Formats: sequence, C-alpha cells, structure tokens
Amino acid sequence: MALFLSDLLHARVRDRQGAVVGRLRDLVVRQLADTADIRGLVIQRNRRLAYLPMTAVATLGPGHIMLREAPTWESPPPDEEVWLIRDLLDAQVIDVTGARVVRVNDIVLEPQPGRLLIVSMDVGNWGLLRRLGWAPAARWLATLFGLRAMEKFIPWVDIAPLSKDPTQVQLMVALDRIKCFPPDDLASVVDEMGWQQRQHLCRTLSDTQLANLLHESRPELQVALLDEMGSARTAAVVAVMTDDAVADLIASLPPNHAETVGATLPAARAAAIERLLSDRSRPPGSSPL
Amino acid sequence: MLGRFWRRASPDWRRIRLWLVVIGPGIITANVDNDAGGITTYSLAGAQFGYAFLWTLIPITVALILVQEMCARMGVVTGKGLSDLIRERFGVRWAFYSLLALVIANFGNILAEFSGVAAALEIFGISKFVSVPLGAAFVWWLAIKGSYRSVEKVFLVACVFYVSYLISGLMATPRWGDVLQATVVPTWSFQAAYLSMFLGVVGTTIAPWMQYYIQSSIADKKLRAETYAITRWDVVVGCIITDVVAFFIILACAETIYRHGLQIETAKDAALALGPLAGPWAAWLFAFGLFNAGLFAASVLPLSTAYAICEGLGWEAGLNFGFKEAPAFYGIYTGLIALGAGLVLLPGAPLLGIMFWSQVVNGVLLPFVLIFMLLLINNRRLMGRHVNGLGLNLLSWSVVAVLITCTVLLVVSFLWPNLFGAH
Repeated sequence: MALFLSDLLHARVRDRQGAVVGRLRDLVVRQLADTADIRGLVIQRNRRLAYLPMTAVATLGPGHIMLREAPTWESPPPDEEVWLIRDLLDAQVIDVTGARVVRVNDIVLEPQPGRLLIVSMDVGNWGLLRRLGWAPAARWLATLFGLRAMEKFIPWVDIAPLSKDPTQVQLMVALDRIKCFPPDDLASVVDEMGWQQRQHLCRTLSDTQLANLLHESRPELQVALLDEMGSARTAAVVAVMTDDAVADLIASLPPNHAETVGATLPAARAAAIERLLSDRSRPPGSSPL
Repeated sequence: MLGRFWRRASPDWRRIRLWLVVIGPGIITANVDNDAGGITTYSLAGAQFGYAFLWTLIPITVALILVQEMCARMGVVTGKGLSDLIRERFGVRWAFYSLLALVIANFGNILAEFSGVAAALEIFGISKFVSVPLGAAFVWWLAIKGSYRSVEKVFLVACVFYVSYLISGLMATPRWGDVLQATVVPTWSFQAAYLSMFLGVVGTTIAPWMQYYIQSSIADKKLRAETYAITRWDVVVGCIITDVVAFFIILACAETIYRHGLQIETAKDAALALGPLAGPWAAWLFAFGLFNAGLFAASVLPLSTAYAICEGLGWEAGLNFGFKEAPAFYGIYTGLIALGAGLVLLPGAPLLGIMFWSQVVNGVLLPFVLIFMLLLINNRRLMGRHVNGLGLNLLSWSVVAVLITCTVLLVVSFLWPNLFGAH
C-alpha cells in the first residue's frame, strides 16, 4: 500500500510499549538514484537528533512509527547523506516529459516487510493540496463537479543527482535524458536553474550541445553561461559554431562579453564574422563601400 | 585587423560598461517604492507636520539599505527568488500562506496605483475612463511584448522622471537653514496623529513586495557573486535616490500647504494646492510624478506577484512561455491588472475598504518576511561564506525588531484607531 511522505511529517515515534520517544525529523537515503531503499530515520526530541537504521522500525503507517529498539541519542545523524524532507521535498526537479521545472510536492513511499521504498515524486497540484490539508475538500468539490483528479508523478528511477557533492543535492531528472532535449527546451529548463545546477549540467554537455544551448538562450543566460565556461571552454564551443551563429551571439551580447567571445576567434575567422556583422548593420539594398 | 565588435576596450571603459549591465534591480525596486501610496503618505506628512518628518528619512534609508542588501545578496548567491527559498527551507505551508498574503497586499497596492494614475491625469483634464483602461493596456502590453532587458530600460527611464519631485520641491523655495536643522536633529511627539503618521511613513517605505521583487529580478538577470560589489552599489544608490525623492515631496508640501495651514487628504489635493502657492508648473510636475509613479508601480507589482506565486508553487513562470504553457502565470498577471483597473472604474466599488485591509495584510506579512530573510541569510548550507557577520547580524536583527514593532503598532492602530488617544 502506498504511503505519502506528507503522512509521515512530524509523525510521533513510539517504542514497543507505546511511549512517545520523539518525532520524525527526516528520512535518509544514501545516494539519489543509487537505490530506492530508505536507509534510516532521523528522530527529534526537544533539540536533540538521533539516527536509527530502518531495521529498528517495527511498524509504520500514516502518522505513526513504532520502533523495535529505543534510539540511542548519542548516534549523530549522517549529515552528508540525502535527507528526503530537507533536501528533496519542495525542491525543484525537471519533468522530462514536459521539459519544464517543477517542484516536489510530495514523495510516494511503499512500506514492505523490514524496508521502506521510494516509489515516485508527486509533482502535481493534488500533491500540493494534500500538503496544504485541502485535499479532502478539493476531492469533494471535484466529485461534485465530476472532474477527474490530475495527478502527476515522476518515477524515482528517473531521478539523478547532478552534483557528487552530497551537501548540495542538485536534484535532477536523469541527466542523459535532459541532454536529449531539443536545444530550445534545454534553454528554458536551464534558465530556471540555480547557477550551481547550471554549472554542473554545462560541464557534462558536449561542445556542440553547449553551442546549441547558447544559441537558444536569452541574452542574460548567454552572459551567465559564458562567465561560467571560462575562456578555454568558450573558445572550444565557439569553434564548433557556424559563422552565422557566432555573429548572432556577438550581436546579442553586451559589449564586454562580445569582446570576450571575439578574443577567442582566430584572425581569419574574426574578419569573416566582422564582415557578416557589418553587412547586417547596413540597411538591405545599400552597397558595401 | 581587429574589428569594432571585439577591439579590446581600456580597462576603465570595460568597467563602466560592466556597471551599466549590472545595475538596475536595486534602483528600480527602490524607486517603485515611491509609488502612488508612498507619494500620498509623504505629501500628507509634509502637509500636516511641516519639516517634522525629514529626519526620519535618514534611519529609514539605513533600514531600507540593510533589508534590500540582504535580499540582493541572497539572489546573487543562490540564483533563486525569495519565494523559492521560503518554499525550500520552510516548506509548502509557510510558502503558500505567505504568498496568499502577498497577493492580497499587492492587490491593494495595484488598486492604489491605478487610483493614482486616474487622480493624476484628472488634473490634466483627462477622464479616468480614458486614462485607467489605457494605462492598464499599456502595462499589460509592456510585459507581454518586452524582454527583461527592454522592460528594465523602460523602468530606468521611469526612475528618471522622479526628478519632477525635486524640481517642484525646489520651486516651493524651501528655507534651507530650517531644512538642514530638521533633517539632522530628530524631533519626537507622542501625539496620536504624529505616531500614526510615523508608522505610515515606515510602513510605506519598507514593504514585503520589495524583498520578493529585488531578489527575483537579480536571479532573473543572473547576476553573480563576482559583480556583487556593483550590485551592492545599485542597492545603496537606489535607496538613497528614493529617499531623496521622498525628502523633496515632504519639502514641497511643507513649504506650501503646511505653511499656509491648508488641509489635504490625497496626493491629488497636494498637487492642486501647489498650483496657487508655488506656480502651475510645480503642480503639473507633482501630478506628472504621481502619474509616472502609479503607472511604473502598476507595471512592476502584478508581474512580480505572478512570478513569486508561480516560483513558490512550482508552476510555469516567465514571459518566454506562451499562454497555454503557463496559464497560472498569465492568469494571475492579467487578473491582477484587469481587476485592479476595473475596480477603480466601477462606481461604488469599496476601494478604500480594500486598500485598508490590504494594508493590514501587508503589515501582518512584513514581520514574517523579515524573519524568513534573516533565517535564510544566516543559513550556511545556503549562503556558504556569504552569511551575515556578527556585527551585521546585530544591526539587522535590531533593525528588524524595530520594523516589526512599528508594523505591529501600525496594524493595531489601523484596527483600533483610537488606541493612541482621539485624533
């Protein structure tokens, strides 16, 4: 039976005798995409945190967790691993089917004997309503008007971290699939990313992919990409662009960045692109001097 | 031979050009702060109390710089908007209900902006049934057709027009000796009217929408830590310019309306009263300033509200999407403009009531936004080494404590007007 992470938020954690030992603070996974198994839970009592492996859990359901053994408050929680509530819930992910950036409204879990599996991320508006506690009212209205619930999920297997640095979980939908986006879709997705995510993604793109991305981006994003690429990468990327594309790029950049791009061009190519640009700035029909 | 497109400019020239690319968000946000509501408040402060409020502009400027700088820094370091960060760090409930409050507060402001446009152009003999629909259509079209860069240029031009207040202030021939003294020597009164005006001035100068707007526009412009020194100047200069404008509005009204003992209730009254006292040009410049401010803020507020909501709730946002791809974004944006402009034209619409309650919501929201901001900016996971230092934290927590106290008092005085004694 599926269980939502929102059902477990702040759930009371009890020992075998039924006494409350604390509240659930978070669920921990080792690495995104590594495995669907929850490794353990972080429990909070007053200001103290304790970590418990999943094997310590006897039963688990909406709003309640029962433990086999009492937590030892000395065991520090593994800060460097991925915490579902802290790092994943409410974070941005890329929806590959729509090529857009969405937010994780909820996470679908599946309790199995002795383990807890992550099934998918709920990125639909129903997840949002459930988190806000309005789902029952909304469901009642939907039935009243004969509407069908619009659910949207992204399977857990499609999630991959962009960064290896576990303290900066940059949640992504499988990288190889992002890279297959048409350049204009890629540009609109990259436009919505924070700069760390953007930098990681661009490092994994080929020069040609990056050239296409650059071509489809709006000027602010072009400037940001160029700043992050550095002069060596810029030279490599510009080298695979057509003269027309380079001219487009230079024409849309502010002067400082146009200079930076220009400086990477070999003299002969620079002259050719210069001619292209001055032809364009002349009204059609007038003859070159 | 190197062509004109990449001839290496001198380092000085490159630096100047870099400045021109980076500046914008700080100056624009601060200037929009002098919107129709702000101009009304400053006019009344000058008309009712003369020079007595000039000194308050100095501490208010410091507070404004502190608050705006922190949001600018968060925008640069994280590349994300404030509603993004609230959602990610404090969860969906805080994000949702603070956004709901933001919509209500901003809607009241938008209504005030269109009322300002209507009032200002009525001075020039233009009916509100012409000015408001045209203004609304212009505002809507500007964002739909423009890119961030072109819209920003239009906004920067709008900032220049605030100079009209400087001129009308100068035309009122202030007594500079008294002005200087009133600016540097604080005065205080426990009169009910003075206290509520003080809270009004603070409340109109530091508003929640500004925090959302400056951070989103910096994130949208993709400004980076390397150019942060320039961004900080953008913020500081913007805040100073804004309060210089406020200073001259107070001056113009103090020197004319207050000195002659006249009574005014709106910014339009102020403009009309200036005519016989300081000459028709002063009145026209004052009215033109009000029109510019109303239209300017009416362009910024609906857009920034739509961005904040969609970012926080994970809906498609941005002008590079079509209506079908981002229905919520365009729906909120268009709805706010249409409803705001429509209500101003509707005879018998409860305008004052809506604006009153939206100011209350504004005041309730501000403490939350300020506390969220301080918690976020001190979050090392998020800000790394860019968190506040100890000194800055002491200063900003104290400023925030004072602001929250003022805001709470303002809300209380709205709800129980006789709290400080009868007016």
